[in-house]
Amino acid sequence: MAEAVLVTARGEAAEMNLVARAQRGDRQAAEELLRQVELPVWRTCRALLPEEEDLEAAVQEVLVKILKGLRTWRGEGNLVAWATVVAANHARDLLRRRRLLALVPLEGDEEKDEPHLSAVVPSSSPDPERTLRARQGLARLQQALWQLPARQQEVFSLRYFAQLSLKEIAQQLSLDEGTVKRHLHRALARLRPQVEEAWP
Amino acid sequence: MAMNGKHLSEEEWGVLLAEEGEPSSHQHLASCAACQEKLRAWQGALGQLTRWQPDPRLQAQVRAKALQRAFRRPSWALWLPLAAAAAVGAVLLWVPSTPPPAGDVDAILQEVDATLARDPLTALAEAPVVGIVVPEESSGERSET
Repeated sequence: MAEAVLVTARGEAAEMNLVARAQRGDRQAAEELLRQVELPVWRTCRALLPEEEDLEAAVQEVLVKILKGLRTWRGEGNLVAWATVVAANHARDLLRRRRLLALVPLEGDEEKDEPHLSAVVPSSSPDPERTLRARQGLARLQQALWQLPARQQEVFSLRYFAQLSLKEIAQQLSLDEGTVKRHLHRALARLRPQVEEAWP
Repeated sequence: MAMNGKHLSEEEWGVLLAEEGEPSSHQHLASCAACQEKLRAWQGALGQLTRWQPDPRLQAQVRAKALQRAFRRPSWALWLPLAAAAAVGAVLLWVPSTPPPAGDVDAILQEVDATLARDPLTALAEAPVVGIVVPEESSGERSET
């Protein structure tokens, strides 16, 4: 127990050292910090953004926001969790803008409805029918995720992409653990029909 | 509910997926094929989201671009030193570089003293200051009174 606390404290000290170096303009330290936080950022953006949205551009934007935010970071909270929340908020902003733009349909928009998930499920799967169902299921699961309320998206992303415990999520979002649990259960309940339909 | 032989409730699924789950849920899962199937569906769905990896080359490219953007000096930062230098130069040109020589001032003061010493009233009457205090247009009216 004491050893685990010591390891955590050393990890936090190393992270703060990197943050301090990045704040002084050390590009290498900033790059190292990005490596630590970027995978949950990619996964959050991919889960919360429609396929037609430019995922790379979105992730790049989030990473720039993180680097700029680091300038005033004082070590409060968990860096990965904060980065994941930045990603979830950015994805939501993009979707909001997209919904506003959707009020004015553009030519050729109907072609974008087709899900494009080739990177997720390999086409050489032994069971094409199952593969197709999984692809369609993932697309529906993503659609259900986009439609979740903001808080449920944040809690879901922090639990599954940043892999935080409920207690850590509660600390990060300044909520009590029971509220976090309730948000997560509601989110899972809303995703359940898509999951059960696509992965029987 | 799971203990009564029924399937796991929505609440129990929530606990199971969000956390570790209750021992009773695990006991039920061990013996219920339908709930095992459902758990596999959830593992498949969540796995698609949480185990996905971006292409490492793409990841490196995006990281490099973000670093380049965040560490780029803004265009005004390049012009700022030049603008500051130009402003300093302009100020230096505008302010006289040397004060008037002290000798000139002394000579003027000596001349004033000498004039006043000769005839102070005449000196004042001849001085342009009278023309200012008593304008020429009104000089006739003043002489009539």
